Amino acid sequence: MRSSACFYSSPADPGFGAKSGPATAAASRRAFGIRKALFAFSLRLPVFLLFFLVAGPALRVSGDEPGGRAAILLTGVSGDQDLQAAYLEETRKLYSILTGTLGFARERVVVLFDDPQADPGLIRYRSTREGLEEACLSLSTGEKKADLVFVFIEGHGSYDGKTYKLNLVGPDPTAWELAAILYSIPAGRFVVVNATSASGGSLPALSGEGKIVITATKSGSERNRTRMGAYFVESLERNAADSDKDDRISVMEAFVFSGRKVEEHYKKEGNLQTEHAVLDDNGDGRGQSDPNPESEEGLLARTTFFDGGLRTDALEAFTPEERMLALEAWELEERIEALKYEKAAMPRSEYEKKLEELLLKLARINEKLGK
Amino acid sequence: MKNWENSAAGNHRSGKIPEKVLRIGAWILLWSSLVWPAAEDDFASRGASALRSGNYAGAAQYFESALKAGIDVERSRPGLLEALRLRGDYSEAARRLEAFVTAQPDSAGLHLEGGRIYRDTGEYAKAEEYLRRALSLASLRSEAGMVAERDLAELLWNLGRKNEARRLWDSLIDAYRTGTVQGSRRLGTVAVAAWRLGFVRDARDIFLDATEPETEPVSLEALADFGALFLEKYNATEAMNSFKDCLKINASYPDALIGMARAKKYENDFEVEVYSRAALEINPGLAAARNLLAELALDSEYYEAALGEIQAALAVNPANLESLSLLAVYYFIGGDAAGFDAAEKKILGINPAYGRLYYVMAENLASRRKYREAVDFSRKAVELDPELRPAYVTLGMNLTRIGDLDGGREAMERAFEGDPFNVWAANSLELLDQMDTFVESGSEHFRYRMSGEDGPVLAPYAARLAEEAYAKLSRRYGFRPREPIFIEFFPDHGGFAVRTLGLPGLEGALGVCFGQVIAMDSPRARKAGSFNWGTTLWHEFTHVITMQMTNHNIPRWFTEGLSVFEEYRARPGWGDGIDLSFIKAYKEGKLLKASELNRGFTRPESPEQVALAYLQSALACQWMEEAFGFESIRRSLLLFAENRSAQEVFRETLALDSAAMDAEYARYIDSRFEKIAGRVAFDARDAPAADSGRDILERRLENNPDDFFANLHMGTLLEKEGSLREAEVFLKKARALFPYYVEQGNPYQLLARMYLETGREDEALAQLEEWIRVDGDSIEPLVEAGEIYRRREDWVALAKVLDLAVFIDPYEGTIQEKLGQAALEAKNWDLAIAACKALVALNTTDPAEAHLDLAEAYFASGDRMAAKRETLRSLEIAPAYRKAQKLLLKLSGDGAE
Repeated sequence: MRSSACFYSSPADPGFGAKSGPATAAASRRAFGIRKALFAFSLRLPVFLLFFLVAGPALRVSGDEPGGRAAILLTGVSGDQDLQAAYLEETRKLYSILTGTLGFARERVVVLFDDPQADPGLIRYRSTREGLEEACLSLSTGEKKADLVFVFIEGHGSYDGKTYKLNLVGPDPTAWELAAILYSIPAGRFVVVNATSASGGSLPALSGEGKIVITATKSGSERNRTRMGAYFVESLERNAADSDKDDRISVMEAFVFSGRKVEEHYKKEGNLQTEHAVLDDNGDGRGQSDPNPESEEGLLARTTFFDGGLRTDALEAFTPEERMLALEAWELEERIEALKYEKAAMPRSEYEKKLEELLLKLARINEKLGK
Repeated sequence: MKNWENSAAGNHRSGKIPEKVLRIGAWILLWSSLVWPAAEDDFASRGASALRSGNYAGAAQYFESALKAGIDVERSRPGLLEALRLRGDYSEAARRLEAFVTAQPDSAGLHLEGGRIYRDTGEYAKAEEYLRRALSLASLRSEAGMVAERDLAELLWNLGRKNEARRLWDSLIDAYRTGTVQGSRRLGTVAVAAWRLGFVRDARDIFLDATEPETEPVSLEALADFGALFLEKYNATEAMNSFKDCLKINASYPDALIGMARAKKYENDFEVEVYSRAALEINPGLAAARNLLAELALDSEYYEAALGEIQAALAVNPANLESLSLLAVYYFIGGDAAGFDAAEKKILGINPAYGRLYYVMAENLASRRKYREAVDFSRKAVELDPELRPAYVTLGMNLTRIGDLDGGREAMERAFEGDPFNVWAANSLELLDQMDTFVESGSEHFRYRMSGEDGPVLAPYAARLAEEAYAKLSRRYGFRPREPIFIEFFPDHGGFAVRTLGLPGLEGALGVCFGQVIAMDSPRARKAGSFNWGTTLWHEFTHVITMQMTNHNIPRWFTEGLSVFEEYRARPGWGDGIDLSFIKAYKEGKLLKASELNRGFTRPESPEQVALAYLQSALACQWMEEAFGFESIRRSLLLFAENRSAQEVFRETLALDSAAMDAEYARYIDSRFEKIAGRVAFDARDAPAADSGRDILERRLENNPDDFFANLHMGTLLEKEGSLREAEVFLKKARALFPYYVEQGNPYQLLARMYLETGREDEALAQLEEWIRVDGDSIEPLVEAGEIYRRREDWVALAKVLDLAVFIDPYEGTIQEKLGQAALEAKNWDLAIAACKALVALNTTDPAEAHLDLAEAYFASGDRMAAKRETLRSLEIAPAYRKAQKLLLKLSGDGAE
């Protein structure tokens, strides 16, 4: 469920809001999935959304002068050659998606691996603690801070009941050390996907304001090999995770997609599921497997997208009349979202009647725009 | 104190005591006693020792010697009587008893033995007289007195004089309360009294004290009784531990051997017979052993053999109530009303409140799959004897089997109230609670019960298949079964097993039919893709037809055979296939004769024999149809409905007596499998080691070019080496030599892979289709063939193969998704709706699209209301989804249709 982007007053999408978004044609394709809050304040809002409205600007990255998006793809040491080869393949794929369809600048995507010779063209640093520090430093230099830093960690993590450690070449950083190194990069928002075993143990340290943290396991005690990382990469391929059909992938969509794939994987294998991914984006240090508005978890993840497009770009392709229709469509989308939040508090028949009315209106407008 | 919990299971896994061992043991003891004669003054002690160790012949000799010598006469007389009784020499025992009592009229021990002798021979009045005399002669709380009191109470209870029996048990408990009762045997009598009075935990504790091995010699009676307590509480493992402890001391102790046999019955173990026969080796007149063998014979539908055992038991004890009850079962099954009435009258003449008669009837009729009759008799049992708790369980189980879950629950609750240790009742009640959460749905002739998770995925497919089965089979058999037919899917195998038997287990079973109720594993109960639930449903529904059509009088092998045979006809590859174990059994001459097929189900010698029995029975039905026409099968069923014997039926419909049927069936099997079997050399089954493989295989092929495994291994080796042309030749030959081989690495699989790799798609498809025709359990050829059809946009063929795949793995989202699309393209709306519904339920990663696909299927089928509902669900998830918006507009009259 999408909820909250519509309540931002900024014209920019709060996600990976760099100007260097996809071409206008692509933006145009996305026109009807646009969430924008021109009419947001005319709506009746649930209390938690009011909270979010207040909190929103504080969480939001600068949309006017974005410093761009950066990514760190870090693979630690698993101790298994086959697994390392699989991780390398996964990293190649993710690098290609980020720098391809998602429009990340190549120089802003840094790859760390235990053996840089495995793919010298791709791997910039050895996955040591020092290598990671250097990578972070390289992304910190620049005139402006980054809008968003995406960190993807694969490999082996350990947890002794108190402390999570990421297995790197040489000394293993604890979760707190890892957080200190990563968050040394000046950025408005971080999306950290820690897909290692026992990664749930790292969540309290990685959690914080403006941080969307996803871990492959719900706690440090899930110590078996994880599959979530591979499915997270898959979620970004060919818009696989785009469940609301707006041609964009939010962090939440990628999280839900990979979670379901993991579940399917274990069911298919007939094995007990030994990893349960969780997400934390409200900074409380507690991950949720089913983030939802009631738990005040997931609002940021829903409104943070992996592409860098600006929603208002789409309007440029329209005639004035179409612009009016588009704005009307956005308003309807927002009203639908608001209605969905009120669903539990109203009779089912009333909800369905209102929903149908709004959906029908929206369909009619889009039909006109589609001509 | 003995740690009983730890003594469970593991110790005794190797368990059985073959009769030969028992015999040898007894002979060694006898021989040793003869070779080294005892000192004269030690005869009685040696006799007692021999008696305790199970050397009854030796014991008798020692006691006789003591009596001749006039030494220790008072100990030796009852000892001799006991030895004679335990060997079953009742007439000699009775003769000597009279003489001994005349000589020693005040002996409590002699009167106790006398009571036991007359009890075992059915002279209950005399038995009572002797036991009462023993009780009056014995000193207060002496061992003989307490044992006599216990035996008298048991006798009176069996004769229906329950209040008198209770007073005696109370008396034993009172004695225990004085704190002066000590000794294993005496404590054992108190434990039995506590058990009979319903103080089961106390009984267990007292038994634990009684069987404490650290003190004096443990009473064999106490050990055997303790085992019987466990057995009554359905704890076969602990029961066997107790019986085995007893048998370690005395390998010939009849009650322990019978206890073991009964415990083995829980496991449907062929050792039931081994232990029963071991007991008969010691005492050929042991009624309990004869009764067990009679029950086995009844289970196996060997009625004349059952009668033989019953008559042998009654020859020793014409008033044995259990034997008479089995005689009543025999008459009832044979339709002999007069015989049944006579047996019933005799039993009720001995004990007018013997509800157990009807309980035995119910249990045996349930084994014969006559569940309604089992319900009726269970009701009579509890009416006559409301304290007969096991009868409530039987009533409850059978009520649920005929579909009356509420009635079943009520009976189970009565059973559980009276006996909270009853695991059947506890399990069944727990299961009924679980079933309360099941969702119910229906189709024209069926009602379906399944878990909330299974419902949306399975119900549409189950309804399609069940109704198809109903239409085809009711037409073919000319019979319409009673409705509604219930089909229950259990999401865990344990639940299915409890539904079937009241206990977990039944690992090999996938489904069961009770006539109007089918219970089966849901695909969720087992590893994904590990069984075909569609073919299981078809199999069980065939039972509905054949059981109802014959009033449940059909032999087990015939109903199973027809069920598998109908699986063959339902879909390509369904039903038990010809596999290596069948060929191996054929080659080794281990296949059952037609007349022996029932034994493969009811008394299998191994789990493999059960699987073979299914296959062999199906082949028998196939032979009947091919040789005599289907009408012969149908007529056979109609004759079975008249309760005719199998021999009569097949003599009439096939014009074959049992021997001729065996011969004809064997000829049929030979005609089909002799050549194939000759090509399968099991010594070549394992592939030779890779480095030396080629030489070995070449030599094998030189010697026998038609060696299946040599061809298969050579083809596999060449394929790995990349010599595809050469590999193809060997693999094709392997396929032709043994076309039923479908294990991993089968010729179809390898050839299809090779052809796909080399772009020969038509040939690959042909291999996959062939594979599908002989193997209904593998999803791989269906998915692979589906991929080819999808590339060719042959939607009808794609829908056909994926429809089959759903019966193997309905929870695979990609299969449902592709099936939904193919069915839509093929305009197969019902199938499209089923697939799309399943996809929605599977929590797909693209729920908006899943709802839209379902909406489109409904729209195409003309159900606009459902189409609109699903379109709105899709748009609720993705409000800007253009495809869904377009459909909404169409449904709202805005768009072009």
